[in-house]
Amino acid sequence: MAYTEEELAKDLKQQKYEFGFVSNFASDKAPKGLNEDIIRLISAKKNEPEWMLEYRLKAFKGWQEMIEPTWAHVHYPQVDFQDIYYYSAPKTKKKLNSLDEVDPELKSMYDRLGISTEEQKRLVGVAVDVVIDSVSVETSFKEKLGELGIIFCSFSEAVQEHPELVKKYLGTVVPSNDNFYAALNAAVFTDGSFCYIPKGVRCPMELSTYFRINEAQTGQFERTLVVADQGSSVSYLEGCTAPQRDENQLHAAVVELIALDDAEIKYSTVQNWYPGNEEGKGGIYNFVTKRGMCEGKNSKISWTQVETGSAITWKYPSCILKGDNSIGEFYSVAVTNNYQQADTGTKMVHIGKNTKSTIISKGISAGKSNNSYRGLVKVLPKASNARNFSQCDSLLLGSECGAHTFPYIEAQNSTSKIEHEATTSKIGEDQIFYCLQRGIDQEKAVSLIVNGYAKEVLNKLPMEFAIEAQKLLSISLEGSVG
Amino acid sequence: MANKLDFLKQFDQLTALFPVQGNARAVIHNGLDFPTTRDEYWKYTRVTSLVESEYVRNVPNIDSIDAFRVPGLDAQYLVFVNGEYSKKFSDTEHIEGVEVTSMRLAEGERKQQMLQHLDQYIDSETQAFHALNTSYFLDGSFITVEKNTSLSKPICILNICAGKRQANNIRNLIVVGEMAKAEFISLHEGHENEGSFTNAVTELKVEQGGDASLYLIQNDGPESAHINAIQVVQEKDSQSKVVTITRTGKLVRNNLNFTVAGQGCESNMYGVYFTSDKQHVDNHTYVDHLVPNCNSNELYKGVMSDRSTGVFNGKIMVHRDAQQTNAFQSNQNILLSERATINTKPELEIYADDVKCSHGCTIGQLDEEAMFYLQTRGLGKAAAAKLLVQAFSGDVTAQITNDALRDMVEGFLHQKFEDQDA
Repeated sequence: MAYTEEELAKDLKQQKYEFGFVSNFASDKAPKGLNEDIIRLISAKKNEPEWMLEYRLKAFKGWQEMIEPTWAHVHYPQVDFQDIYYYSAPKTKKKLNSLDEVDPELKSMYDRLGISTEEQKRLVGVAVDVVIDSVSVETSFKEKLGELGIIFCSFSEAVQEHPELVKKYLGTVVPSNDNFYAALNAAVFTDGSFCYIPKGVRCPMELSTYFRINEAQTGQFERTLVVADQGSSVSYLEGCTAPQRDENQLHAAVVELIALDDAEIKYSTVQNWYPGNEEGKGGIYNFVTKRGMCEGKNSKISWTQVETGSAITWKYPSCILKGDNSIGEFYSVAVTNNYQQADTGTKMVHIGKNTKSTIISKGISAGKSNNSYRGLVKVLPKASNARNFSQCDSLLLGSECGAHTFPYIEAQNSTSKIEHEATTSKIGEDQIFYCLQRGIDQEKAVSLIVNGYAKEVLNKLPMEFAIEAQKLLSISLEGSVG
Repeated sequence: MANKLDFLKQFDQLTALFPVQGNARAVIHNGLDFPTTRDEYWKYTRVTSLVESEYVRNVPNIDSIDAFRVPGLDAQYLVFVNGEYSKKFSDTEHIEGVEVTSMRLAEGERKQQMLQHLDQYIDSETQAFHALNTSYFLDGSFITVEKNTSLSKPICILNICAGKRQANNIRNLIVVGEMAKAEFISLHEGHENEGSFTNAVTELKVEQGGDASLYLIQNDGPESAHINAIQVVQEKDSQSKVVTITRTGKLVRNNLNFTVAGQGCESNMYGVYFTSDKQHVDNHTYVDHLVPNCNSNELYKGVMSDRSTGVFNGKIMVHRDAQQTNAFQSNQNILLSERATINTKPELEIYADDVKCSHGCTIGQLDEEAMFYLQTRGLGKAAAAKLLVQAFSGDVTAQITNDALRDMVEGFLHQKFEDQDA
């Protein structure tokens, strides 16, 4: 399924944000603002058990005492947390077994997103759990997964049907008082995905969630929890889009991954939230806490992300390498254009012996954007023979953008080996010249070179995503050259 | 003494010599506080004990400075004991094209010349330790090298910190004129100075086409603290090199800043820190590229043993206009013992696109294969390790172009390693 030049040419013609349309289906909204009553309302709407409500209220209490972090290299007007709808669900929510029952407007929206479930069903191997404005609408392939004992459902369903698992793992990787946005999420999260892979099961297909913010002035606070039991493995995909809106919308998600002995989780994200227009108006504030815990021996967690959207990104998918011989990986391509600002990177905390981590981060800045890599590699005293390799490169397109790196490296064990390297440069004029001379025009040449530059990371993505990611790279950088 | 004003009170009776000292006192008495570990750039270095202690002030009699001299070094010495100029030990012979003055003794035109530069380059407004220095320094060196002068021998500013619980604010102001070339050694030595604290500030201005080298050798003694700031300001087509060698010091923090304000400049910074016992050595560097076509190179190497901690934070800032900047930064560390720690953060902040910038950082051990190889050649374990560490630090010490100084530095780096063997 190679991505051809014709397709690229076609895409390049579409100058605007592809997914900027608003779907007009009625939605069920709670009043604006945040207080205990809203949290009780959310909890009641979701018919949650008492412990869940307590968890939320405790997080809310903690959140009220926290102050918004300002250390990230991003600038934006302060968010008014009382001016947001914390609950908004499409009214058509009901259990669906066949696609015919889906609201036609909803379905057409999926089609335009290019994730039509029909197509997905034919493309064997992908099960999609679609989350729209915080409520999971549809889960496909559920029965098929059920046969293997795999639980893959919306978070609210998991709370109802598998409370013991949720209770056991929720908040163990990202505690409710972890940080400002994680606490906010813990208090008001409305839905998300839950996935449990039982002992020794290799999940036969890629699991996938699609997030989409539809309603104006809503915040999206979803929560993902993936648990891979001993010897199991899973590959999880997450895609995000939002319609075009003038005001800034808030997205504060929490993702927790837990890998027990010999388990492996691969988590891939293509983030394409609305980045704002050319003047920097609108766009999503993407303040996300993602963390994976390599709890067991020989476990492995791998994060791959392609970040092209959002006005402001504040995101550090991390790995806690607790089990001996565990492995953490982070592969990232972050693209910023126009007035986008991204402060993203990872944290690798080495606790167990013989733990290994790899960080490959490729930043691309264009227009008037600022792109920062911020990472932490920490080796604790007991993590003998810990090994880390980090590489974070930045590519600058245009003279008004910025690329920054803030790597923190803290080693407390003398048997650890850590290497970090970073470069910053622009696209070589000789490279462009070579392409021009071969009859490839400037814009295509840049796209070609950028894709080559990001290849190390794109190669880590599952195939369908890799193609989408390549297209996204080209689209995001349109008009930034020449 | 938990209160900043109580701490400052012990210095307030010192007379202010220059107007800038009055200003700085106002700043530090008002809004400016000493940094804590909550400040990003002081995250790993705790200075609370320094700024909550009581200090005494006396200038002990020192019979001879021979023990503090660099063996075999032919240099013009300028000697300060506890921050006060020592005429007795300083070389006063006049060298063509160079003026060396004690700040306190500067008069008339010379004083006017000094005031034009003094406190113009260092940030005494937002940095508490700089403000503390500016407020209370008792004396300092003011050195000017005239246009087109090339110095044949280095000028060595020897600061001796003598006696227990002293707090010395050391100040240097150096101006290297157009097309002039000069080498400076800022040598810090200690004498029975348990619990003492040195707070040094050096302003180095290199005018158009000038070439300045500054070697900072820190040997304050194992029980004293040293906070150092060097601010280099470079005009068009100038070159500068700062080499920082930390030998002893319980708590050492170095802030090295370069402001590259003219095109065609080259800025080089090198450093070695070998830490042992419970030493804490922190090197912060900042290179501010304001204009196009400049180069900067940075190489810092550290070897940490026992329960010591090394900190490195290098920041390269390339402003929007500073196109065609080449900036390279590298920090390499070896951890020799279980309980040693290194915290390193090589940062880049880049707002121009036509640049080549890179940074690299490594943390590791002595190469097992290299150790094995040397042992098969009949070297003992300790000798093999010493050889490897020597090679490791060689990249930095090779930057010291003065033979006598380099011999001394290599000598004590090796010695430090031997002490640890035993």
